[in-house]
Amino acid sequence: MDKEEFVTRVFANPYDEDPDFLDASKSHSERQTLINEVRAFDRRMRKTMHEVPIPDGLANRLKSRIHGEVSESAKNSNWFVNRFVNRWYAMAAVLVLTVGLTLSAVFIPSGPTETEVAMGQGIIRHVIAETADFTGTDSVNFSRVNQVMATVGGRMQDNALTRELNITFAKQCLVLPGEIGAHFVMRGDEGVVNIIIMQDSLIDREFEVEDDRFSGMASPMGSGSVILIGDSMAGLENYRNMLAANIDWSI
Amino acid sequence: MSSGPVLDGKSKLQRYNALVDTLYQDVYRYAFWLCRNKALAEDLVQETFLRAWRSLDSLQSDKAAKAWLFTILRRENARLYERYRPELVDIEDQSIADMPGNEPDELMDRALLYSAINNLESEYRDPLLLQVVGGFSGKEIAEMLDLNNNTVMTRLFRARSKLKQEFYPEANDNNPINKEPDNG
Repeated sequence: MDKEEFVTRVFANPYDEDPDFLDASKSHSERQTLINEVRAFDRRMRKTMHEVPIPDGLANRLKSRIHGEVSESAKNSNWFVNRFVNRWYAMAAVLVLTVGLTLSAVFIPSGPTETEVAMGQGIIRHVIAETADFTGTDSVNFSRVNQVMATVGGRMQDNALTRELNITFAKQCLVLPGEIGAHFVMRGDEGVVNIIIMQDSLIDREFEVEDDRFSGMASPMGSGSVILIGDSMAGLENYRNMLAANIDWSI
Repeated sequence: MSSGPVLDGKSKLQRYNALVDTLYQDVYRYAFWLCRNKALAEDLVQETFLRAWRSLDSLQSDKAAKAWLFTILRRENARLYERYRPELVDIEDQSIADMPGNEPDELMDRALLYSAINNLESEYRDPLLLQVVGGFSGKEIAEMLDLNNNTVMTRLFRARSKLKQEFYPEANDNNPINKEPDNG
C-alpha cells in the first residue's frame, strides 16, 4: 500500500480493520504514530458529538404524537368484518351526532381540535426553545419590527399605539415544521407576551392554546394567522384586537 | 424488535415504540448536528418519526431501521430547512454550555468543533456525521448518499483532514500527511 492510499485510509477510517490496512501499518512506526494521532483526534470528536443532551421526554412525545393516527388506523381495521354492524352503528351515530351537534351549538363552546392542540403545542415548544434568546429588555428598533413583519407579508403601522408596545425581540423563525413566522416578544403590564405571526392562514377560527406554563390564543388575522402566548390570558385579547387594527397585509 | 413487512395495528404500534426506544437518541443527535439548533432538531425528529410511522410497513428488516430513519431525516432536513438556514440557524452558544463537562478545554473543544463542522462543506459533513454519529460503514454511507465507495472514502478523508487542520492550525506544516514516510 503506497503512502497516499495509506494516509487516505487512515483519515477516512482510523479504525479500519481490513487486513491490507493493518499489514501496511505493522512495520512502520511512523504510520503507527499517524494512526494513533488520528484516532486520538477522532475520540475527542466522537465524545463531543455524542455529548449532545437529549431533550427530556422526547421518546414519550414521539410515541404520544402518533396516538391520533393509531386511533384512525384502528377505526379502519377489520372493515370487512365490521361492515354489517357498522351500518347500524352508523345510523345510530348519525342520530346521536345530529342531536349532539344541535345541543353543542346551543350550549357548549367547541374546544380545539387535535390539529389545533398540536399546533398550539408546537408553537409553545418553539417559544420555550427561544426563551434563552429573548432575555433582553431594551426595545428593538421599529424598523427592525417591520423588517421581520415583511417576511410574513405584513407591516405594522407606525403610530403612538404601536410605539407603546415594548417589543424587545423580533426575529424570523421556523415556528412549526415548514412554517416560517415572525416572532416578537413584548414586555407589558401583564408580563412577557410572545406574538407569532404567520403568513399562511393555517388558523381558520379562534382557539386557546395552553400547557402547564403558558396560556394563549390563536386567531386568523388578515391574510395570515396570529398566536399570542403569555403567562396567562390576561390582556391577550386586547393585544390581539390592537394588532388586528394596526397590521397591514401586503396580500 | 420484530421484523416483517405485514403488521396489524397492535404489532405495528409495538414495533414503532421499540424503534423509538432504540433509536431516538441517535436520531436526535444526528438531527442536531445536521441543523445545529435544538428546537429545529426536535422538530426534525418529530417529523421523521411521524413519517416513519406512516410508512413503517415498508421497512422490511429492523436491522435497516437506523439507516432508514437517518435517510428520512436527511430528506426532511433538506425539504424543510436547508433553504432557510442562512437566515434562521446559527451556532448555539447555549448548546455548547448545555453539554456535560465545563472544563475550559472541553468548552474550547466544543466551540471549535461547532465552528469546524459549520465550516465544512455539506459534501464532507454529510458522510462524516453518518460515520461518527450514526456509526455507519463506508459502504452503508455510500448506499445512503447514493455515491460510490471510493468517493465516500475520499470525502471522509478530506472531512477529517479539514477538521484536524482547524483544530491544529499551527501544525499544518507538520501535518501527519506531510510527515508520512515513503514506502519501504
